Amino acid sequence: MDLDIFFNNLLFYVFGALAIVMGLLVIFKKNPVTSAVCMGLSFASTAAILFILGAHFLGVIQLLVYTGAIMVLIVFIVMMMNIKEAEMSYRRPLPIALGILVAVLLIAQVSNVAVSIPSIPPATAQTSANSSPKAAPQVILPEINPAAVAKQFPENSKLRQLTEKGEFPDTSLLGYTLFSKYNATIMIVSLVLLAAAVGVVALSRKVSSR
Amino acid sequence: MIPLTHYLILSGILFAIGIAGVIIRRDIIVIFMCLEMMLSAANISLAAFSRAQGTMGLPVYDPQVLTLFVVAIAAAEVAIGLALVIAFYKARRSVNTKDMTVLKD
Repeated sequence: MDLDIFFNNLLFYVFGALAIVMGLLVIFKKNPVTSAVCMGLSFASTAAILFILGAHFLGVIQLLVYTGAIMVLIVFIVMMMNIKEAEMSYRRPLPIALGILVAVLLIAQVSNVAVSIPSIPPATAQTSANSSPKAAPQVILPEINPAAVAKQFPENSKLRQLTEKGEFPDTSLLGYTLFSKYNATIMIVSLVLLAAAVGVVALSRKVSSR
Repeated sequence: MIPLTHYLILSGILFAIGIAGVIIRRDIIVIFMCLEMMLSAANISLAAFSRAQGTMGLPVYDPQVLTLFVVAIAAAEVAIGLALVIAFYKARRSVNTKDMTVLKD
């Protein structure tokens, strides 16, 4: 069990390092197809990190939409437009220095905020992973214990039955919040997607010569 | 378990790599790729907060709903952005941002 947790934690650092290395390769590779494939691998590592967090549905959506649609679309565009390799002349020190400076400043600010988050006090005494609210500033992620909160779901619903047994139906729980509280918002997002599709068709029409 | 701060720092590093890519590269397609990497980094941060807010035993799903919307809007933005790039390429035969400095010939 201890070795289990050790490998679970190790996998987070492995996929995090892979995502960072692939992100750096996106910037510093000349060939656009290589950049696109490295970006796809970075997205896949991000999907793995989402699985480690317990967001199973979101990990699959990340893999399907980002890696499967966005990266593939970009590779199609690169191949269709026959882009040659970029001439990465290193005689441009100013943009590279500015880029690295902005990136380092951003990382410093994010780390400064991230290490000083006050620990969230546990709502019940059952989450044994958290100690008292005045504990160390490191916020430990709470354990998943579905049976403790099964009472919030309506009686005789499938969610209630599954969570009382201790299972973790991530997709159904996400749907429970999405379609009850954010029902109107998802209709608006679907209208946005429709507008995007119509816009793409309109933008790629041939201009008729009069 | 892995503390929340490690997830946030990873998300910040990926976002900073995306911003550095947008500043450094001159190729509009690679700029698009770094833009998508920025949005993907925000997804990690949102999912980490979703899990961290779940002190009662189950994660709070509001940030995950927001992540879903971010993914949908990112897909729409990529589609329209790449249609624009294609239209520009048909007019100018170049994807270097140095050639994208004027509005119309």
